[in-house]
Amino acid sequence: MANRRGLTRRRFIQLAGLTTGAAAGGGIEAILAARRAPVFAQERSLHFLLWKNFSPPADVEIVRQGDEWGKQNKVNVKIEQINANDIPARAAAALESRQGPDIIQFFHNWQNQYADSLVDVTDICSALESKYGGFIDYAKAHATLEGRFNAVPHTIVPNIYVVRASYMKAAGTTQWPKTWEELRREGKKWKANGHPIGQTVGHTFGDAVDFTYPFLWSYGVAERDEKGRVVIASKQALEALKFFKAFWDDAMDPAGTGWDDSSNNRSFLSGSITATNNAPSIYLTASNQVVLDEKGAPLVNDIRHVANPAGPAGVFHYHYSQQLAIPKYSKNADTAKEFLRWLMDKEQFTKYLRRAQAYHGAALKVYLKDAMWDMFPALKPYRDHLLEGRHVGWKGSADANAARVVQNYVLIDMLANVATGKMTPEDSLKWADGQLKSIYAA
Amino acid sequence: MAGQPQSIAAIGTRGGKAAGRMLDRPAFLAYLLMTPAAFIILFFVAYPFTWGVWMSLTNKRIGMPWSQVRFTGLANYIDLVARDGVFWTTFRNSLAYTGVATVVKWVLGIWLAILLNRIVKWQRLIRAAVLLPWIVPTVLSTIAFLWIFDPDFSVINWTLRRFYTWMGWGYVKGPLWLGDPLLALASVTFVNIWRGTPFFAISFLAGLQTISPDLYEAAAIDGASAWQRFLHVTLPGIRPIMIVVLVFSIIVTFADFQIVYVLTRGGPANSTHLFATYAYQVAMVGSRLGLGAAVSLFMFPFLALVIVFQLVYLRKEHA
Repeated sequence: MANRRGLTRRRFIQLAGLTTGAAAGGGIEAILAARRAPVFAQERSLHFLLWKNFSPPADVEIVRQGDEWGKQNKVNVKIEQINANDIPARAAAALESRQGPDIIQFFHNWQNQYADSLVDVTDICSALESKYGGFIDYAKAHATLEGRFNAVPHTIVPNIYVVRASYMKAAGTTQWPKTWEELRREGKKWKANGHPIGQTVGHTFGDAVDFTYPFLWSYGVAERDEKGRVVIASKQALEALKFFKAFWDDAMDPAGTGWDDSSNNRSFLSGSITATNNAPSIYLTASNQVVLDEKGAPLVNDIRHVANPAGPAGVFHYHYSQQLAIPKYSKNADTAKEFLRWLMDKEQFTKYLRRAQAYHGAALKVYLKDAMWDMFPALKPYRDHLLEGRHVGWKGSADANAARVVQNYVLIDMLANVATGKMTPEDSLKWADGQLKSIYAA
Repeated sequence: MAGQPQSIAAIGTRGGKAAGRMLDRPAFLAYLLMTPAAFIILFFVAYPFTWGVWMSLTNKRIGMPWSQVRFTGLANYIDLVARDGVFWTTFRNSLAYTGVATVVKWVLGIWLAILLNRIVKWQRLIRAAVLLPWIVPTVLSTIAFLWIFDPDFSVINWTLRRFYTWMGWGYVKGPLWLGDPLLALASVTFVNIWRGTPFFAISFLAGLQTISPDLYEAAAIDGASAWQRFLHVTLPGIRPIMIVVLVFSIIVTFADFQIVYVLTRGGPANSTHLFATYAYQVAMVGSRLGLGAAVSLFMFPFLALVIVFQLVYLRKEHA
């Protein structure tokens, strides 16, 4: 069919092909012969926002992978890395103004707050599950709402205790305490020796959550029951808070109330503390930068990785998941999906995990058996406890309000109120109950 | 058009004359010149403000489709006042932060201005150096304070530890600048004072230089002491500029964000939250835009009162 100006579709394609071909292969003479301006396909682009990793080689690898895929697919991939604490605000601004990155990395279950604004990626995730087996339960719980994946579960940052063996030994502790009560008793000796336990209960995205949630779960404390009712005000919670106050005063570094996620790393590496709940970043820094201890020996030889102690309800861990979401405003949503499929393919993903030096676990269970763990044997305890995590909001679902509880540091502040002496355990529990009810009622 | 066509030049001349006559009318010219500013205020102040007020009356959240946004009346305000466990802490923090910082900046500012007014040697260099804390981007200088306040690696705590060891008093960790609720609030207030004092000092210095030396001479001849000269000559002399600087400082300090966000993000246990940081946490991080808008609008009555005071005072001065 001819268009209004008499140019047929066939003629248009011929001309476009001629001019493009001329520009690509024939040089200026061919362009002049074609008597048309050259036509080039507009290059696609992709903007990927994620955190500045605690394992720097992972940053190098993700940029390399972005470049590689970009070259293969003629897509201009821009990878932007920022402080993890700033991601929620960047995401909020982008989602509200409906412009910004095409892929955003979220932690915990942050993105469930904006589920309506995110592209359904169930197709990608179902394909991954079929190909590689299932996701780890809590990673899946963080990435789904009502059976729909609003983000692709990517990695998991595992957290257990990192310990200085020589400091324990110097205080007469022969083995890692099995219960919180034992840890308090032994920690008191370590603190008396000038090397307390270090733990943040400050306003920061990772370590504060990684300690607070499993500590409370190990006392049988849940913020909600299975029906979603707020049940924090319990005997168990009061017991946990009373113990925590004594634990903090006896065994912990009081500075922890003002720490961020990097503070305990610095404190541990400088020989200030005996133990801290952390990801593998302390070990990796000590290893990669060949940090020496007080005797001039490599610090890595003195580092042990051990499980969280048990509370009355058992041993619990929390490993925060990281997932990749595509906002609905993205004009490159299909390109973003293509990229995520490629990124999650075993060939790329294995390289990413290994270049990160086992800093991350994977959201897919299949990687628990990956040879990576044999390459970094000191970090194997992280793998061994990777399945013991729970999702935030447990025993309820990891929904938007559970994310708001994390983002507003409600449970962390419940501990901080007690640690700083700002409130009694009873008052702090009442305060947290009020905050939770306010958030869950909204 | 019927008849002879008019020349463009003729029309232009007539039009030009008419426009000239319009521009000669002061009322028209005033409105014309005010129009760009009015548009800027309308679009960049009135529009966001009205939008903020509307948002605070809804259940709006980040990413929530507008079809689901409901008008909730004063529910957000009632929630904050009656149920929120952080709001009143934020309110108290904001008053303490603004009150203490403004008073200290005022005292130090006057003291510094009088000193600067007397210094003759190296005058320009010293004045430029005094202004440095105010010129350096806030985030940059606050990051330096993050290190200064670090419990383990702080230069203050390190010096204290060395001093204790040297004196044979044993080990001391040093103050928890950002870990103790009261000290953390004092620390963020201190950084605000450090940053804001130069602005007070330089503004007061400008005021001091407008006071005629004759007045001081006359007061001295009449037997006035230095304190009396300060009370009855210096203070009245810089009063107009003092009021403007105070009002400006109160507004900026009350709505401060950067110092607290970089140093504590409102912690420990919400002890350093100000209205701006709490609104940010609730709205941008916790995704409850409506509630966050309500938090930030609580600043409005207080700031409006300060501005009304300034306007009334300035009118009285001009009367």
